Amino acid sequence: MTDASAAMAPPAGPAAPPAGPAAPPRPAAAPRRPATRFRNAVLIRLFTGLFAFAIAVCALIIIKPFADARMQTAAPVALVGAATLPGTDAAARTVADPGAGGGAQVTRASDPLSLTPDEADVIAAAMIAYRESLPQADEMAASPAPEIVPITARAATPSTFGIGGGVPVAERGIVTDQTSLGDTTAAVLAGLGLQAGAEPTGADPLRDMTASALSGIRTVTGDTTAPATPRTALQVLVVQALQEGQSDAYIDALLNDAAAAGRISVPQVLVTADGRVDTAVLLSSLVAQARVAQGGAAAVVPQNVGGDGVEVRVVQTATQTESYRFYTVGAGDSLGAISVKFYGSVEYFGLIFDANRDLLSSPDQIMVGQRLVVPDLPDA
Amino acid sequence: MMRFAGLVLGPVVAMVAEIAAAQDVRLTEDRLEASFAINGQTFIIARNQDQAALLTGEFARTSRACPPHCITPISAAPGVATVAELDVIAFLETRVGAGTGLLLDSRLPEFHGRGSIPAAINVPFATLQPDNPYLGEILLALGAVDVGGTLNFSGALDLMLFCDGAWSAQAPRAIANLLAAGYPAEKLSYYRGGMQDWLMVGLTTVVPGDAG
Repeated sequence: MTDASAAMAPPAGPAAPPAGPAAPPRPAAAPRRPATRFRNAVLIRLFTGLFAFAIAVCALIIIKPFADARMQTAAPVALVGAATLPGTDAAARTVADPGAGGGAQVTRASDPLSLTPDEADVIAAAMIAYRESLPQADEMAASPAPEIVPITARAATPSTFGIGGGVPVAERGIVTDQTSLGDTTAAVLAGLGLQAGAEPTGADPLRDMTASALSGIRTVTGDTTAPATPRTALQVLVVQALQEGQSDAYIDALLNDAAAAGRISVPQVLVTADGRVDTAVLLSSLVAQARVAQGGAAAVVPQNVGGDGVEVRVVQTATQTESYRFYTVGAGDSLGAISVKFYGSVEYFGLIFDANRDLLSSPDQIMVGQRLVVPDLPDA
Repeated sequence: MMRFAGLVLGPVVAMVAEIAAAQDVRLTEDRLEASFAINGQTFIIARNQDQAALLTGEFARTSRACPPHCITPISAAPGVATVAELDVIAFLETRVGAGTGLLLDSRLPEFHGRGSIPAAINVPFATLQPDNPYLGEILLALGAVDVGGTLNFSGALDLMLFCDGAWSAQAPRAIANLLAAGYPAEKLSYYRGGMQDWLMVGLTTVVPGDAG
């Protein structure tokens, strides 16, 4: 570089004097030489640098070192499984569920084509880090867990799967709020005069502000009969309907009409992939909470979950074997329903949501065809 | 001799007059203070008698960034009256005292807690937004009646809303949201001067909780 600029400099030197006689003062021409030399040096370095950069970019475009690995991982898993099943090894057998019928797909991803060891390590490490960072379940419902992106290495952008990247529901008319389902069921049970087990615990600034506004208003209006804890429009409706002894179907229609008309907002976990209110999950959660509040047993985590959309994949690396469950969202599924399906209770929906933050912008943005990772419950 | 007496007495007379005036910073020419009772609690609104008093602290600031602290229009919404200090006092005496109206501080609890107009109730603007799932409870508490899924406001309370002042949109937002929820415009009024104007003329403030 310095040689080149030195070689370039002498021609610049002789070139200057001819200009000298034309331009009047000679001293003015003299300082220009070092400046020209310096400028040349800078330009040469700049061009060389740019050239090297351009070559590097071209090389990246041609060789595609990252795209290669990505395409391999993103290959349809069912196909991988079908191709490798005949040579079943221990890892693949562990997840076969006889009761699941044809719905459960057993796939095997220890094939190097499907997951490079490096990527598997990344996933495994991320999963371990993810599990260690899991907050308690009730905290999870209220506070957004730290931004963890555990499975990004799988690069399973939904569009690479046959179903497509989730079908957006044309009319997502349902308004959601930040109320947790646990608080909702607690408020409904309290409204019914039943033991709720616990006071609503989730942090809800709007509820707190509303409660203090209400107590302020009532000190002036003198209304002392109203409950101290405000209830959402949804909670009021459900309490009313249950007091009237309405059927599940009636409550489903009632809440969906009210939600469609914008009269109520619902907890995000209750929004189904086709944009309805999942009243089944709401009602079953009510029953479950009432049972626990009365000293009954908590829900049992179901074993060997199978059925439509369930998919189990085993990753075997040199050091360990990990199995992952996936679930493809169908119409009518809410995050709450999927949590009940896999964990027996709606309260773990946060696990699924956190593991799929690259697909789900919020728990109510669940769409038909999305392929969600379903993490195992952390050991209690 | 007379001239000398004038020189001495002039300042003395002026001082005496000043002292007398210092004890008398009135609300209006014929009124020293306002006193009213709400649910058995007595409130007195008067002015700071220190004629040398200057506004200090947060409400002495002139130039908050806009946005968000932009100058609000004189009217919050069509049909909603804009009022000033004497109207606020009259509203407290007649409507709030009689149980037919409420003075609402639209600011967030933190700001309300630092001092507010006597007898004002803190209903933060955020609680009146349509995304507050508990909004219905507030509207019912304000006197709306649920008639087959829709709210009837004919018996609802008269509301006067204020916030920090002419540079805050919290009260106008609260008014817009009340109107959107169906609250009748004629039941709403807007004290645009807010806390800053209230303090600027030295009117009584209370720190909620201290008042008992």
